[in-house]
Amino acid sequence: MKIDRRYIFVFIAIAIILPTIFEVRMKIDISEPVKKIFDRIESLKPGTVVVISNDYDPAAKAELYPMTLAIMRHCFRKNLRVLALNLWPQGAGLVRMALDISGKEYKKENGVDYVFLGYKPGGGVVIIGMGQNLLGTFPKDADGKPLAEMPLIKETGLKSLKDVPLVIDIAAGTPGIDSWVIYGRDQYGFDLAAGCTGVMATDYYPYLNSGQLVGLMGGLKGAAEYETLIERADEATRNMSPQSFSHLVIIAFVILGNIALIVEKSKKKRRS
Amino acid sequence: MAEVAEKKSSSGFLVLIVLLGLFALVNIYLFASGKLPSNFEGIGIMIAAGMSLAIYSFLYRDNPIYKLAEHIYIGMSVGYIVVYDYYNALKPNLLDKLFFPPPSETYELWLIIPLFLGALMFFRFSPKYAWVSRWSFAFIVGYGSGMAIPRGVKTSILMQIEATLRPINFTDASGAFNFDAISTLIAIVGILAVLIYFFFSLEHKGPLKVVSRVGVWFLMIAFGAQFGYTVMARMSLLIERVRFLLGKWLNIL
Repeated sequence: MKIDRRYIFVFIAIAIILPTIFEVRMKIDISEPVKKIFDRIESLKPGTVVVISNDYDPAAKAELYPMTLAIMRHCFRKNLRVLALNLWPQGAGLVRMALDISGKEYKKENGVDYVFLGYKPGGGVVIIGMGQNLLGTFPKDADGKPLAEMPLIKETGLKSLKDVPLVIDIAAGTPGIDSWVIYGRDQYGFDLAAGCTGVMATDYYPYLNSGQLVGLMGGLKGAAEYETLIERADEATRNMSPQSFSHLVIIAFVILGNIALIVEKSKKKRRS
Repeated sequence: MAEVAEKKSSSGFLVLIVLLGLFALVNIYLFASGKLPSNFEGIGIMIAAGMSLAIYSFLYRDNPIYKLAEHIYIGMSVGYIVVYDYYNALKPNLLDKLFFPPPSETYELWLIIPLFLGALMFFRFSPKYAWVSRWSFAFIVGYGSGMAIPRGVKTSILMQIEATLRPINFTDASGAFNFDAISTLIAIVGILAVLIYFFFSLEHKGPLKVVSRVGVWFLMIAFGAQFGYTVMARMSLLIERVRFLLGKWLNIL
């Protein structure tokens, strides 16, 4: 028995388009690894610097951009200061957009409440450099302004990653979470939280179990959970219902496929 | 046979023309009705919608429009990376410091070494002298291994072993049963069973066969979880595009 795969695509398209048009909403349960990131940010005192490394490109925007935006909103709501950077070149525009949106919402000022360091090539080397001498690695921000003259640096006395209590890495590959664990967290002692694409999520549960990650957001579900936690439903929350319906279609096809397999096998047995 | 193929390709060409015409008509309507702004943003949305549809046309069958969109995407990505890397890495970190330092700073002549090693990489384009680029690769492999191996062993092996060997607490601080202990026990059984499955020095017979079988089950569950997450990831990408097409392009949402 064979079904043209294009029928499956049609069903998937229907399962996604209808809930998107009719804005079907579903309850989002919070998982422990996501709650832990929220709790860690909540535990920080106002004015503390949080580093957000965005190591992804527009291909992963659907899953990771909502995480970046939700984390930035949470940090600004808590009056934390944000130091954002990219280890991937193509993601710079998305990070700037997220900083602009969240910064405007909470009336935060560039250079005072947040700094965008931009992209620096080198992955692990950049992290080691930031751990030893932040201003040496990033003498200027993404707009070419000297970092040493910025109020965020002057007022906090930030010199390296050793002065940062929490780094959040939102990544779609390498350099990414592995690099931050290997070259950053285990060398300089800060807490590391991570967000990653769904494909990568299972790879990072061992780090969660060993305490090398304080929390983990996996894929769109992780982003939607974080939006729920900060009570700011946005793109990820809206996209969860078409996500659930498309999963139901896939589950139905998996069941159908297995039934067909069993029926075919029993037919063959009977014939022989 | 050749006749059937020719018929198929001409009907495919016709479908292509009809779809392109439909796309053009929809955009004319969207611009005329003001649903798409008549500026660069509107044109950008139209191009993005066209590219998305062109890529998704592969779901029906491989076609020239898909190929065109694919090549444009690759070309744009490479072009963006080259320009971005030049202005954010090569120029400020190498060229400006080496050749055009600000009046208050001196020429950083030591940068000639990385410039020289970097330039050697271009010998990859010459089959005759490609071996010269190995000097640069030797440098990269040497520093890369030195940097990664000790840290990688500590982080990915020793700390993972430590986490596995930690004593299991069956009760929490209040004296109640700690349900996390069950997860830890399952993880330990899984690790041991999978390790035994990959232990090939002894034939998997008797108890070893049973344990390795358990290892296979753990692996299957792990693959299943990974597949589930992969499905979720791919659907997320599709949903984002559908939302873009219905919302920003067609203005239905």
